[in-house]
Parts: sequence; C-alpha cells; structure tokens
Amino acid sequence: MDPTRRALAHLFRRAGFGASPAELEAAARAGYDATLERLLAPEQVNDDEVEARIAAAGLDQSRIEGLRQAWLLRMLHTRRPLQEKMVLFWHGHLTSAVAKVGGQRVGLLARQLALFREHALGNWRALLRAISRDPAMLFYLDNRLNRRGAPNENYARELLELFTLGIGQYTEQDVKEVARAFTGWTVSREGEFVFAERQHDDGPKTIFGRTGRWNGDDVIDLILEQPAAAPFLARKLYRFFVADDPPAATIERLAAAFRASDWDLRVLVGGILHTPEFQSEQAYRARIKSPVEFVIGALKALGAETVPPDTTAALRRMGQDLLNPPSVKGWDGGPSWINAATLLERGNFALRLAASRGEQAPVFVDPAAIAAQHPAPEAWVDYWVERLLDGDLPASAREALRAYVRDGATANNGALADLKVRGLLHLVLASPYYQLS
Amino acid sequence: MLTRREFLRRGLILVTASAAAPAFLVKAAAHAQVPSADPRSRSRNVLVVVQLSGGNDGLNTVIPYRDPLYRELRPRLAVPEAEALPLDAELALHPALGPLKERFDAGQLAIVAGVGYPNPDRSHFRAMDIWQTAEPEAYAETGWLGRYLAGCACGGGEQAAALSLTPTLPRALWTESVFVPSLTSLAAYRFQSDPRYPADRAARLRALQALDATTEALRPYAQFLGQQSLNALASAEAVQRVAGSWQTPIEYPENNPLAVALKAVGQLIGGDYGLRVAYVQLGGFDTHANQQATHQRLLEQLGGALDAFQRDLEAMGKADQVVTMTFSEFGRRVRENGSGGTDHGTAEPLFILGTRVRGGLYGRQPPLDDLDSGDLRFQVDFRAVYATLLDRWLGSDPVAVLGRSYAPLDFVGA
Repeated sequence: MDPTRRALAHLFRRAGFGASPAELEAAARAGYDATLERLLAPEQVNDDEVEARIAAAGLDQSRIEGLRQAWLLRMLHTRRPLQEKMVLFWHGHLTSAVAKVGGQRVGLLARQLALFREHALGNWRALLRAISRDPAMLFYLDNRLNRRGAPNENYARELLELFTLGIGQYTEQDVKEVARAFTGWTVSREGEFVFAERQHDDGPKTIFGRTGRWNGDDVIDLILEQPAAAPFLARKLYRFFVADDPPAATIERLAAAFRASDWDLRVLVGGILHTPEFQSEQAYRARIKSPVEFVIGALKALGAETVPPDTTAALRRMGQDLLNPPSVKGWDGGPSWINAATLLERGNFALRLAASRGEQAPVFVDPAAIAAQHPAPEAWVDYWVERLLDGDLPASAREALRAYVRDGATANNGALADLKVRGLLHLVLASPYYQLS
Repeated sequence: MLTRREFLRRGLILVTASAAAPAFLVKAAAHAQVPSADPRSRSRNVLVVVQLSGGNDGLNTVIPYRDPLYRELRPRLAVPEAEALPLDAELALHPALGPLKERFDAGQLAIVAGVGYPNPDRSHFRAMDIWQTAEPEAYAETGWLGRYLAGCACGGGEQAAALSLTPTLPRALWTESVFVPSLTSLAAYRFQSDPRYPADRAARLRALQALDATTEALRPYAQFLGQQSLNALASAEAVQRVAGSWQTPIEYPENNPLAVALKAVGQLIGGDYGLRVAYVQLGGFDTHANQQATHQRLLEQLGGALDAFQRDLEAMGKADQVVTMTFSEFGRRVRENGSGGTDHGTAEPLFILGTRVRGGLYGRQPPLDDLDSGDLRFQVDFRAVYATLLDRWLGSDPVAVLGRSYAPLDFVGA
C-alpha cells in the first residue's frame, strides 16, 4: 500500500472508525492534510444522509437496544467520523449507564449523546457546565438529590477524581464542599434541569483553599484554574488517539496551548492529531482496538450497509456494553480490552461475518468473484491482507495463511474458494494483527 | 492443542515484549503459562472470592440492631429491630439474608466485623485496588491472589488453576507467571469455525496458532495479543472438556447475575477442572440514593446465590473442599445522606462461608459513639483475613504473599 493511503488508513482508524475502500479512495484524491482539516471541521460537512438512513431503519430509540443500534449505524455511515469518535470518547469519560439512569429514561441518554455531539470539539468549560446540568448525569450520579443540609457527594467526587483533575489533586474536604456548591442542581418532573434555589446551600465554602459562596459554575472555574486540569484531559485524549505512553514534554505543550485557547477542544484534539508522534512509525498499529472500533472497522472495510442485529450483544461479550459502562470510570481500554474470552468473542464475530451467506448476510463476501480475479489460491491471502491490514503483514504470518489455504485443500475449485476465501477472512479478522489500530 | 510452552519447546522463539509497551498485563502475558487441568488436585481446597462492587453498606448488612445511635444516625434507613435476624444480643443480619442466617445457625458462616485498614481511601478505584493488591500504602501491580498463584507450592511443576467469572480480569488475580482467564459464560468460551466445513476447524485452529506465534516483538501489543490468543485457545479447549460433565440438580435463582457466575464455578468444580481460586462479583452496591429497595434486592441476590452454590457443592459431594469469602471496596458513611442513601465510608463486615468454616462472629463491631469524621474505625486489618485463608485454607505462606505476618483469626482450622 502506498504511504499516503497507509497514513490515511491510520488517520481514519484513529480519528474515526476506519474507512471503506471508497472512502479511502476519495481521501487519497483529496490528500492527507485536506482530509485531516475536514475531519476537524465536522460542522462544514453535510451529514443529512446518515440522518435519513437512521430514520429509514425505523428503530425505536426510546428503547436502549434501538438507541444503541441507531448509534452504531451512525458510526458506520457518518461523514463526520471524528465528531462521532469524540462522542464515543465523551461517553466513556463523562459516563452515564442505563442500568442506573433507568430503562424508562433512555430518552435522557439519547439527549446526552446529542449533547456530546454538539460539544464534541467545542469548549471544555462549556461542556462541563452542560454535563453538570445534563438530566441523565443528574440521575446517574444522584446530583438531582443533592440538597442543602443533606448533601450527596457522588457527583462532586467523580467530577474531581474522574472527569477533571484525577486522584491526589483534591482533599476529602474539597469533595464535601464541592457537593454543597452543587446542591439544588436537580431535575424537574418533566425531566429537565432546574436550579432549585431553596435547596441550594449558598453559604461560604472553601475549595482548593479558596473561600467564597461558590456555586456549581464557580466550582468548574476553580477546577480549570488548577494546574492539573489541562494535562489531565490532554493525557487522556492523547492515549485515546495516539498511544498509551504520552511523552511528558508533548503533554506539557498540548496542555499549554489548550489553556491558552480558553479550553478549545478543537485546539487540543487538532494539536494531538498534528503531533509528529501521531504520524510516527511508533504510533502505527500501536493501540489495541476497542470492541466498537473492531466491529465498525470490520463492517466498513467489508462495505456493510447495515449493522447486524446481534452486534450490540456481541459488543457486550467483548467487554463494551454501549450506554452501560461497567463503572463511572468508563472503560479502561488498552490491554484491558483483551482477555481469553473477549479475544475468542472477537474471533467468533469475525467468523459470523465471514461465514454468513445469502440475502440476510451482514456483509457481502463473493468468493467466486475474488477467485476469478485472483486465480492462484495463495493470492487470496494478499487480497485480504491488502484490504484489511494496509498490506502490512510479516512474511512469516503471510506464510501461515498460505499454509492454511493448502491445508486440507480439495480439488474442486469453487468449493475451495467458498471454504478458504471465507476462512482467510475469518483468520485475518481474528488474528492479533487485526486487533491493532 | 498447543500451549505457548509447547511452541517454545518446538523452537519457536518468543522474545519479551518491547520496552515501549507500558502495561503490566503485557509483561505478564509474556511469561504466563496455562495451567493444565489436573485431576491430582481433586482433593485440594478451593477459595471462591465474591466481590461486592460499589461499596456495600456493611452497617445495614450486619446490623447493631439494638444500638439507639444506629437508629438516630439512620432515621430513614435503619432496619426495624423486629425485622432484623439476630445473631446475638448486639448484631443481626439484614432480613434479606435469611439463607445466610440459616448457614450461621448451622455453624457454616463466619462473620468478621469491622474489617478495614489504616487511612482508608474513599475512591472506588483506589479502594478496590487496595483490597485487591493488599497494599494500602503503595501502588502495587500484582494482586494478592496472583501472588499466591505465582508462589503456590503445588509441587511437581503443577500450577494452580484460577478463573474469574468477570468481564475483565480483576487486579486481585494479576500475576506474571500464571495465565488466569476471565470469562462470563462457559458456553461462549470456545473457538468456533465455519459450520459448513466441520473438517476445516482443525486447519483454522492450526493457522491461528501459527499466526499468533509470528508476532514476536513487532508492535508493542502484537506479541501480547498473540500470547493471549494462544493461551485463550488452549484454555478454552480445557474448559470445554470439563464444562459439561457436572449437571447440577440444584435450581439456581433466576435474574441473579451472581447465581449465573457461581453456577459456572460449580460446573468447573463438579467437572474436576482443578480449580484452586475462583473469582465472581455482584455489582450495584454504590447506593448514594434510595438505598433501601436496591440494597434489599442485592442482599437477596447475594444470599440466594450463595445458598444455591452451597447446595450445589453438597450435591456433588465437594462442600468440604470449598470456602467462599465476600468483600467490598468499602462500607458506607454511618449517617444516611439526604437522598435516602449513604455516601462512601470505611470498615465493613466480611462473610466466610463453608462446611469447614468455624461459624460465628469474629472481629469487633466498630462503636458508633467513636467515629472518625463520621466513619467507622476499623477493628481488624483485612490482610489478617487474607493471611488466615492463605495459611489455613490454601496452605500457602502468607508472608510471601502479604509481605509480613498477621495474627490469624480462628474462622478456619489450622
């Protein structure tokens, strides 16, 4: 694969959900820089088609399965992949889970996703103010019940520990005082944010050593004045987009620019995607794909039109139950995605794509056409390696796949193609190499 | 079926992961061996750990039901005295724990009151790490059960088998030398192949193993993935060999995720998988609001699942080989909050269940008139509980696992 396409495939895997052959082709014509700028400016890209597809799918988005399917369909077809990748990031960072929010309030989770979409590359301070007023979050971390004289610390603690600063950057007393500042931030019977003034404790509070009659918005300002705030988010986003070991100097530089921009997320994310590290050989296939990246990436590469109905259940078994993360910390990511069961599950999902035949098949695999185009069976290996792995596979691994084509091969060529072209697709998607982004 | 060890024997070289790969898991995978299910371990003791995730409200689990301070600090949440299940004149179980009360009366349940550690942490994640690593003062990589497995003097090159019925491997089981699978369903834990060509399955398995073995030092995570895959394929075949052999006559409770997990553990013990440690969890204990109904349901699930599991062990004639311990990352604040819930707290009671347990009350209930900024003061270090189980149940050296000695408790025999 030529270097530009390889770099673009990398960009789409990280700043999106992978690319279909047609998308890669179009991006190669536009060039790398123009493609990156387009990803960073989603508001300039018309995405009506994906709305039409979601509407046409007739999903009941007031139910959790319908909402999940609609979201996966959006990931598969959106022309604003970086925006949607950020929605997935925010969902894993400013988490809410249906198990707590409640199956009867799925509409609130849909609104939360819409909020993440609106602020995807917006402003960090504005997003923090918005999520602190988000009804699903007010349910998830109980702030709707946080009242004067009877504070509930749940939101206050996680706002400091997980959302903005990290453990060690605040005291237990700060948690208690921040909880007081958010008293009265609650949800109306109609499911809207309200500030219940009579439930708000407007007495003086001491937070990070500063005393005042602070309210929730003041707390967000105080948090952003802490030196830990900018590097905290920069580090997490760097890990999300580049690699697990962010260099300190790079984080420092990104954090300084982020702070100087008055918390412009486009500056931070754009800065990360423009770092030399992002395009370096060290970053290439250096991350482990999340289950969503694995599944949507495979569907895109194989030109799927729809998301198979069993995908949400498969994602759950792979360890990523969308809209229901295991804890308020979201998903740990990296090597923790991989264990014996989740790895087998990835292989078994790959098999379902590779071995499903006929009208209802989620992806159309045409072994006869591939065999006609590549008469030598061993060339089927190269076909899939080019399409799924940027043509990048060590000779020893290629040889292992060729040996598979020879292993138990029968004389009948038509049957052989159906068996081995599909078998190779199964093996490539199940291989360690394909799990890397 | 090839394991990584056999690949090594055949001369395929697997070098250690690149230094750029940061995570401990990566380092561990490079060395971990798949323990073979060993029928010789049939007579050996099994420890089952039940993690109650989110911070269980210990004060409403083992209740100082006659203490007026309890009622004063818990005006809405206090369990009425008439409903609590008395253990003695001071303490009672939550009414949802009827099955455990019966086990207590039968002398099979030990309750250790007031378990914790100095300077308790109230972050879910740090507190859970502390309980799982048994290291309150430092950030440790390996888990206490992982260190037990790594150093287990099982003899004859045999390795202890452990398994976690959780979506990811809990740090408690992190070790550098033993491969511990985590899975949520025995049935789904298998390598599937194209049903149209059953004869091709063996070829695909061979090919995938060969692919897994080509990942040496390529990209930071490639080798990790290859090793995990080889281990997964070997361990899945081992689990499938025994999974169907014990058909339990016990009806486990429905709509109970802990029961599902414990039933799977029962299948493996019944099938003589050679298990030494099993890890399961029940989540949802982070009851900041409207605690009463949620806590009632969770404790019902806990009691129901543990009771079914014990009956299952009795039915297979192996109840004498298994001890089960529960724990949570912390208890909850003594005074209820304004939302009908409780915030993060400190010390908690632990349950130790089994036919060879010396039932009764251990430790000491933390007094409600001597709180530390509203939280209970711990009376028993959790590492003393671990040390007891390591020494008297698993037959291992607690100092090697915990770094120092702790006076054992008497809830299991020496």
